[in-house]
Amino acid sequence: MPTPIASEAEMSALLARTGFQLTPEQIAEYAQAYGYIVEMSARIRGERSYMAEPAHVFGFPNEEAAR
Amino acid sequence: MSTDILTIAEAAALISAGKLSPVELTEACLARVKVFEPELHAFVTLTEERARADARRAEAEIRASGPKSPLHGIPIGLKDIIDTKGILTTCQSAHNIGNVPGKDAASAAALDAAGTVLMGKLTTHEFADGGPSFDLPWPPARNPWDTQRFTAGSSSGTGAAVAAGLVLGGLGTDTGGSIRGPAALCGIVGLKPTYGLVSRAGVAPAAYSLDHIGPMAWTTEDCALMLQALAGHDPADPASADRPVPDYTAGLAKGAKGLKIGVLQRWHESDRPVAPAVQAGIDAAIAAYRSLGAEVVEIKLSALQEYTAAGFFIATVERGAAYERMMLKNPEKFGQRYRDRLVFAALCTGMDYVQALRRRRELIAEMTAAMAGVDVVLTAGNPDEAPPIDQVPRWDNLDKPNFTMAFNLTGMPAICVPSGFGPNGLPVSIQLAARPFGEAVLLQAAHAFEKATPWRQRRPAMLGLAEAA
Repeated sequence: MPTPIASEAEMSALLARTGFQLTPEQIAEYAQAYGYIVEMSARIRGERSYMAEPAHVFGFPNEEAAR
Repeated sequence: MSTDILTIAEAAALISAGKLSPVELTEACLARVKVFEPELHAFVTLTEERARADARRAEAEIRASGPKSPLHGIPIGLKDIIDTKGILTTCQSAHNIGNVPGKDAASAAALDAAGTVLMGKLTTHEFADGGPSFDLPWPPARNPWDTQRFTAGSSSGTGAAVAAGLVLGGLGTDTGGSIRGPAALCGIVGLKPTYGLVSRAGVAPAAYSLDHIGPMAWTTEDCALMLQALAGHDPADPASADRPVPDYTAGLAKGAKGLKIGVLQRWHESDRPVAPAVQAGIDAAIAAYRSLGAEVVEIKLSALQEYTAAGFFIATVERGAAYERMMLKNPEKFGQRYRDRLVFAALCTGMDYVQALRRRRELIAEMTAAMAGVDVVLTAGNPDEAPPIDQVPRWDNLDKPNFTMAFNLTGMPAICVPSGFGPNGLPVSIQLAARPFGEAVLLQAAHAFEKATPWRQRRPAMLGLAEAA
């Protein structure tokens, strides 16, 4: 289990948009989980160029493209 | 094969020959439901009268003009996030109590058109994520091999129902392993097709760009028969692929001779070391493929953690977006485990999401290149036997990578096939994957392994069946 890296106040701010009424104990539990998320967020940030596109790209349906 | 419960292929042959009636077959399944459902909780809704009506209709149609497909008269079940016209579709959530869709999902309609008998709607995790949960309106499914054990999820009811012979086949959905996990832990076969091959229309989303619909059955051949009915273009699904559908059963008898099998050793040996029984299943698969005339080579990919991390952010943020309105309006209606998943969405940033999408493109390119030289890849299905149902870690999707998400992230087809039993007598599984739309060769390889091993001869002990010779 990673060390919690956010204070209760920081976690409360992050969680405020969820609509859940959370107790301090629950917020502390999520602070533990948040450590894992921060660890994983480092994994997806590579040395890639700003030209590197995301996987989802916008495309027209074939019939639209053919008009 | 087991002496009492037929596979879809066996039942289809008997029905076609006039030796088995769909009504008789359906009544046999309903009788097993009556005995075992109180322990298994595989169904949210048992559609007994609908099943009998479907069976009578199938019998009359077959008598008049023969079976219209190998699925004609076959009892099946649908995961309860798949819309069914006039039938409660709960998504296992208090949010959906009383939700009765006005239209079938495309996949439900496809199986209906093939002549299946609908036995009911099968247990899942709340909105297909986060279980097992004990605070929802319906209990979690139990594993027929040991009812104190987890089925995995989220197609948990489908896994339990197929393993116990309550249905001959069923539909699951798979966003990070939700078909293949229950297949692995319940000792059945589960196929996650290529992204876009089976329409998602009418199925509650778990994560839009990772969601797949697919068959779960006792054998690979049965999954191929079901996929044949399910695959095809659907304009109602924006991700649906418009391409010809091959014959998925035509190549099953070809065996493995000449196939090239790539083994992803680092994933199950160092990235997430598997239990000895799982490793033994992989070793046995390698030996079996070699003895069948396949070439086995090692292939290398990035760490499993790289695939899992990118999949985590995409799944979490897409899920949060899908259910944000419910979360803000009636947050108290969610169970704890699904609430956890929604809270995670608030802990991810917009930049996390786009970075994950950029990483996804790189990982798809990497996996595509690695697969160019092989027909299928081999790794573990699940790291171990099923854990006790009350000991599934709350942060299970955070602290360890799984073997299945990688193929949701890349959209490539993957299948779990039983590969033996562990020290607790519970099933373990291998996982095979192939290039996009490579289901035919994937099924061929899986079928060859299945036929070379004895693991389809044994059903859960609770059923009281003799093991077939």
